[in-house]
Amino acid sequence: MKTCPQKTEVEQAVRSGQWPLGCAAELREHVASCEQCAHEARLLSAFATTRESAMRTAPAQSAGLLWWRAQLRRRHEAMERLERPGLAIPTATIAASTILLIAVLATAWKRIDWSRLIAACAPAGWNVWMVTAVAALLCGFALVAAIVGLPDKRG
Amino acid sequence: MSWNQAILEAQPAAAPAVASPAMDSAEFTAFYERSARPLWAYLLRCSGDPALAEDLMQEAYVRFLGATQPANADIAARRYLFRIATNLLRDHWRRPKASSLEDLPESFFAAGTSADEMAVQQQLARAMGQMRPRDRQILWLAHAESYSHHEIAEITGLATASVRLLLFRARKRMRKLMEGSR
Ligand SMILES: [Zn+2]
Repeated sequence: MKTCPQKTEVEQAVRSGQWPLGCAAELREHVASCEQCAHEARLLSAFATTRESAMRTAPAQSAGLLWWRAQLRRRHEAMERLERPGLAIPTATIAASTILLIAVLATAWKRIDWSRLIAACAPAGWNVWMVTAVAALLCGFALVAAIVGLPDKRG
Repeated sequence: MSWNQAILEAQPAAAPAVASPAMDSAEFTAFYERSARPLWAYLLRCSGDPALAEDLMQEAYVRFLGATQPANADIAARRYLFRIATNLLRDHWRRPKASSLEDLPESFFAAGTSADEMAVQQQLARAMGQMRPRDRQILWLAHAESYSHHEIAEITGLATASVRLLLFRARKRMRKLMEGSR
């Protein structure tokens, strides 16, 4: 459907409150004969009167009270932000301590004389590989024992 | 000075995310006087629930004051206020069991009007009650508040092209409903 060229004029008349008595007689005659403009005038008038009557029922609220409620909320939110520890600080702390720990372990590892340690602690005739295999076995066993022995938290 | 006081007074530096209010108390009161009644009409006619409309109106102003407001232009501030209210309505509708327009007491849409006007308003209320919530908002913003497609897009967060299409369809449906009820 083509838009009637006078629709905008009708819209303006209703929106400015001139419709129907305050506008030109020609416009009223046109609306009486044009279905599209008649609907537009009816629709916009319905919204305008509904808006007017709804505005008359607006509750009495205190702007000052709203202002103070907003101030209180801003302060409350600012306090919450201060009390809540930011995520950035713990993350940085954990990263720094991990790097430090690795550095310390690496230095200590290099300083250990493994062949003398094995000769002192392991039974005679054992080499590095045998000690490593036994150590790995013991670690595996400890891990399995830890998992099996864990208390069941679901219960 | 207590620790709490110290924090409050250091607030702008300690919490830069808090926007300083663009309006002082007097400016806000004047803005409130100009915008409260249209905002109330919008919330009431789109929600159909006077108690809810009152709650949302208060919340809209508190949020408006808590956010960075558009630079002093009154029209932009008003559009921003309607945007907050539109989001609050949408959040309400997302919750289960939102009230319908049918429940609205008659006194809330026909206070102090002639019998003719009252009939037109009832016709509009019935038609609005059968529209989808988002269509109600768009129809109200376009016809009661005279916002342009672009402004409605800004308020609702939709694209201007979507607003144009949704409004076209909603108007078509509205016309059918209003003509059917005459
Ligand atoms: Zn026409």
